[in-house]
Amino acid sequence: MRDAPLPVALAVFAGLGLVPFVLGDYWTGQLARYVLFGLFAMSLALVWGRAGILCFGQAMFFGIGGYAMATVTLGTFAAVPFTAALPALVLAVAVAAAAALLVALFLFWGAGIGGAYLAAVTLALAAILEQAVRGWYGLGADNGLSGVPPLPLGDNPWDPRPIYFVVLAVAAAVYFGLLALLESRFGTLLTALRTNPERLAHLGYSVVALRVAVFTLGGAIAGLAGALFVATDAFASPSLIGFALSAEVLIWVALGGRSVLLAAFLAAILIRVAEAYLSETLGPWWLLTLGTLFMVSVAAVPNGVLATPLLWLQGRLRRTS
Amino acid sequence: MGAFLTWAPLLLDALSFVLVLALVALGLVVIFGLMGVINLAHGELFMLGAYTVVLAVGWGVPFWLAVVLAPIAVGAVGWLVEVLLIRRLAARPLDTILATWGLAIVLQQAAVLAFGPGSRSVARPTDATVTFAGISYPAYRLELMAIAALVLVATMALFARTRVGLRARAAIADPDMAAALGVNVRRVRAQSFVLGAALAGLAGALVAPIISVDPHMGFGFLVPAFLSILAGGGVSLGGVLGGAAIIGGADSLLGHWMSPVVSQIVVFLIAIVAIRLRAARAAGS
Amino acid sequence: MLEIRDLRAGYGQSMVLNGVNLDIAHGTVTALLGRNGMGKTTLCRVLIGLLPMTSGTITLDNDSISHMAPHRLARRGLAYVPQGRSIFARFTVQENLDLGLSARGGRIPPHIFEWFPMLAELRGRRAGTLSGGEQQMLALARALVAEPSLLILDEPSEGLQPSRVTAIGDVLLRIVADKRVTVFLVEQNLALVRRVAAITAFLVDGVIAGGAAGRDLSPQSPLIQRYLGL
Ligand SMILES: Nc1ncnc2c1ncn2[C@@H]1O[C@H](COP(=O)(O)OP(=O)(O)OP(=O)(O)O)[C@@H](O)[C@H]1O
Ligand SMILES: [Mg+2]
Repeated sequence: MRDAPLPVALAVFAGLGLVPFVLGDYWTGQLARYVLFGLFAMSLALVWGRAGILCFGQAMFFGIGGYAMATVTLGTFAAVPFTAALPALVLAVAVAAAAALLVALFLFWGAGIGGAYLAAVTLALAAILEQAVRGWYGLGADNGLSGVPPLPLGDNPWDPRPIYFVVLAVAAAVYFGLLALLESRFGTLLTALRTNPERLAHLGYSVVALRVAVFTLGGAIAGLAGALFVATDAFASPSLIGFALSAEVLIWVALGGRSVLLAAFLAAILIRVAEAYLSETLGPWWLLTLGTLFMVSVAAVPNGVLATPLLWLQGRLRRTS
Repeated sequence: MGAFLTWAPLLLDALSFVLVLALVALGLVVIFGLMGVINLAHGELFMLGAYTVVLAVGWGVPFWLAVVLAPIAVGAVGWLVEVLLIRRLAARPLDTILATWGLAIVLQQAAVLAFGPGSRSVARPTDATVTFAGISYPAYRLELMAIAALVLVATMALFARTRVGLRARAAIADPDMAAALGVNVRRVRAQSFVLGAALAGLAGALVAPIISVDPHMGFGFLVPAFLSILAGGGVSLGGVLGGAAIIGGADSLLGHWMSPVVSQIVVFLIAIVAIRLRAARAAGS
Repeated sequence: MLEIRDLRAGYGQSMVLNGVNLDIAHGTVTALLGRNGMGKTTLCRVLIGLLPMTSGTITLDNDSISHMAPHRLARRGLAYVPQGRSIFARFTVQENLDLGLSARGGRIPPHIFEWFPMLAELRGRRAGTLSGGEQQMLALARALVAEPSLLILDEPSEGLQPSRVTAIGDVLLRIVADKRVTVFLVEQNLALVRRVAAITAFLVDGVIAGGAAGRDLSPQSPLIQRYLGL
């Protein structure tokens, strides 16, 4: 299973790199957030599209990363001896990964669960976590945590451009890193895990270990996106952790194309941009349109609206070369 | 005696919630069992049932007639959904989760556009109360419980005792063999979707007078109903009641001891552990 | 009554049947022999409509039934006893028999319990608790409840002790004696085939490799030698 053609991926990231020179500060700042949603969408594409684990609670890890970043940099817990952004970021990713590891062990240990059961359990876990955060006064309860310090980039920490470039560089690094990983033997194993887990087990591989590994990796990436998001937005709120965002990322990934990381990434950005432009003018029609598109694309274009042409192009390029 | 007087209404409230939840969950389980489809738009079908009553009563239709109309109207919507959407995804059951989630969003927003985002209410058909052993309790809630219990029993009897039900069970157990014996499996599936939708519509109609009706009301019932069937064992109709009793009972009773947040968390945790145990046992056997 | 012409079918890219031609005459038992994995079950599943064919035609009493859905074929008078029986293990014996009526409605014909006396006493039992032989009888009875015109049997003797195989042979002889049912019998049990079949065909590599009248199936015949892999 290949991802998008390399030239297209390079063009996408290069194009995104040029955007701040065209757009003003406000949109550059917004786009930084959307790129982070794109990174988040990539984590679900990895877990769901590549490994076949339909997770209905991916926002858990995005939110955990975000709240970890916020509490450490704000010094909420005395037990954490530092408040600097970089170690906070590392810790946030580690906490999100650890949470994903725990969830994965719970889900996959022994005979494990899959399919509809897994969707139900992850959905319920996300709902629990959101409830817990909303009731936890140390985390600001319903109000969330505001005033999260920005990433220390240059003299004016609220200048959106450096933030945007850092965020974009991180997304590109993760994308190409994942691409390399998926081209390796690990990628082959993931394909086997999705399409024929019995045979994989027969050949002596541990299906449980593979699932746990990819789920944890997905959780770490989601946590990274969440941590950077909170630092960019200066605000950690319960809406980042619960069912609503989990369902939203599922829509982005399904619409873009679950098995193509670049398609998921782009779909998240494009849908967010469209939403920013259209949700004011369209009101309830916007969600109605998005829901209809989602429904129709699942039925008619199961590989995704962006991924289908990308994969076609990939096939053409490979045949001619 | 004093404890009885305080507890009895609470238990009755819990029981009425459990029965309505079981009705919603039964609709889900009929659809899940027969089609392997997790219908995430089920809560919205429930919501449409409630709106049917609100609108019909507003047009001067007598309440009980509106309650009869609601499952018919929602069943018709279910039939459309089956023909236009579900049937096309027969070979991809997991994708129906996504497609019905899309449908849920569409129906919610359609309701916002058609009926406005605010909540509506409908008057109870009666404000009488029934007094028994020193407790007085609203008569409508007792009627609601009786109807819900009756419909639950009737639906179960339909599956357990009739030929139509036998064919439906055969279509669940072994669709190929059922087809070879002459069962039109596709039609059985379509009928089950309509029946499931109608049950959701009826549940929505029955609760319309006692909760506020708004476009987002479905989700609050979908999640516990969904957890009830998974915790109760997936396809067993008897398990639905058990699951609804655990989830619904815990949900409405725990709230009296602890904060709603904590009680919600406890309910979800119970559900998750039950699901995990069941799934592991199912896989092991 | 049934004509199969140039039938091709398989699973995905791999073809299993490569142009099967076979006629099944009214009121006979036609047997099909073939070694494991030759495609006998595949042929049965195509006949009953559970597996789409790639090309070819099937005609039943001069009507094309090539792409008919299984439940329609059942209503046209085809009945199927699959390999491994596929009884509904969690249902009672009575419920299994009632399902046999899905194709035509009505009631269970009384002669079913004459042919299968032991089923009368087992009606209330869960089918999954029956012995293998009883389950096979149930599967056969369930198919006959529909009063089919063509009965398709896939290895009914598989895994049964000889006395049970004899009992199945008895039933088959009896139902064709009435001339109401035509039987297509897939088997590997030569003794059973010799006893009941008027005509025997051989499936080799996805085509019918030849046929013989039932009583000519001596162990020395070249087809049998080939079938046995000698
Ligand atoms: N569902 C399936 N998917 C893919 N291949 C299949 C499937 N079912 C059967 N086959 C293959 O088709 C070929 C024919 O199988 P079939 O079951 O028809 O043989 P058979 O003659 O009935 O064998 P047996 O005597 O063992 O019952 C075999 O090679 C088998 O592996
Ligand atoms: Mg076979």
